[in-house]
Amino acid sequence: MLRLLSLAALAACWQIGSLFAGPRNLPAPIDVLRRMEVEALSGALFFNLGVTMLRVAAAFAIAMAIGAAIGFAMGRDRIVDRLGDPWLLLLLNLPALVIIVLAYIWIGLNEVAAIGAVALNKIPNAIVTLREGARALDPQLDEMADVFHIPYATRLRHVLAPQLAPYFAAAARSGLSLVWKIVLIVELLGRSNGIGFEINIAFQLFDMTLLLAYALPFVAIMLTIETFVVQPFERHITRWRPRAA
Amino acid sequence: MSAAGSTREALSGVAFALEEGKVGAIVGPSGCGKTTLLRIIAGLDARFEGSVALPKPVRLAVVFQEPRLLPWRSVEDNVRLVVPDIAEAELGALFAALGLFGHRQHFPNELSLGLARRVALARALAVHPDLLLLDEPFASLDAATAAALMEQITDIVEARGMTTLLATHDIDAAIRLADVVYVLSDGPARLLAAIEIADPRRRLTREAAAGIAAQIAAAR
Repeated sequence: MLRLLSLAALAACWQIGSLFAGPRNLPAPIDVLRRMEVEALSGALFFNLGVTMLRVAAAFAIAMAIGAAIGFAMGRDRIVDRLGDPWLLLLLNLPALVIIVLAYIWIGLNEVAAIGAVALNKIPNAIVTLREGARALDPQLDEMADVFHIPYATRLRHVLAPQLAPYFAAAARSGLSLVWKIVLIVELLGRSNGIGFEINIAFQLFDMTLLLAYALPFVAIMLTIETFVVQPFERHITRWRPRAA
Repeated sequence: MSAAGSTREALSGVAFALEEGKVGAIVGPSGCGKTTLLRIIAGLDARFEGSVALPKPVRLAVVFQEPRLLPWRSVEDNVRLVVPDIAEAELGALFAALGLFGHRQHFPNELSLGLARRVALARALAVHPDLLLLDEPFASLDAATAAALMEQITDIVEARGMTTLLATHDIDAAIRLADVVYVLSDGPARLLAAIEIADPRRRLTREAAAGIAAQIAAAR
């Protein structure tokens, strides 16, 4: 209830702000809604939203899979950790923009470069988080699994994965919020569709109404996914924990 | 065998042979190297000189001092982890023998240490081990719980006739459970005596038990 009230207050501020700033700098909420309707009816809004969402999904999935695998290996094996650490440091400190521009130059202005660049931005964070998880694995349970000759697949699924799940969930949550922000930059710089592309057009035309008409639904969708998919998933995989005394 | 950890030597020239089907009890002061000895036999510690001769192939099971259960799996599923295709009847009999029947669906964090250790014992027994290693099975349990667990272990050992080696600082428990008691010195542990018990467990008379206790005391 308080949250809704706060949201309403934000909308009110927006409305008042638009009166002072003028429609060119800050269009009124109702104008943005009308523009959204126009874009929705033409199908452009849904098409661009869909394209961007697909890129988010692809980059997110790739980054989580690769990041988790490398992070796990680094956390489990000291030599792999030593070898990988400098690369990781470099990757962690490369600005997103540098990775994106390099990807476009080296691979070309195509989908592979776009999704790859986004994934590459997220991979180091996923590695760091999953490496922490792998380092925190309980050696006593490892020994138990050794003694009872538990097959590796079973061990991975029932002994290791549940221990890593909270770390995976944390990486997924921060990963999604990072990926969906970077995807827009990638689209702005080198794609000819998607929310980022539309924002680029809005920027070139100084069309604030168009910008908000695309940005707001996208933010709303991503927040919805985070609240109703990622967070419940996180609670689900850590559900055994509250039982702890 | 001798074992050297990263900082100190834990065992110094310990040699013994446990006959198949017998229960051996390793006694000695806390921290003398009993656990290290069990870990070496279980193949969990390779930093030692000497050798461990086990019949091959051998099915080995360990009940660690910490139960080492998976907190995200129920009692039943913790046993199923090591024997996925265990028959329902066998699982039921195992839980009944250990007084765990009402706890099948519980999670480890809901159990007392005594119950959790029983689950670990059930898990070990489920694999039908040729050699069962028990590390301090009665440590940190109240007297009644320890006594009940002692009865259950005695029943199982008698019924199954499996080779069992337990490490304990509880000399009384060792005498009541074992066919042979290995007395270790303070660390780095040396083997001071191996005392055979002719009429072990429930056939052991009070006088005989007192005699064994005296022998152990004399050896130390």
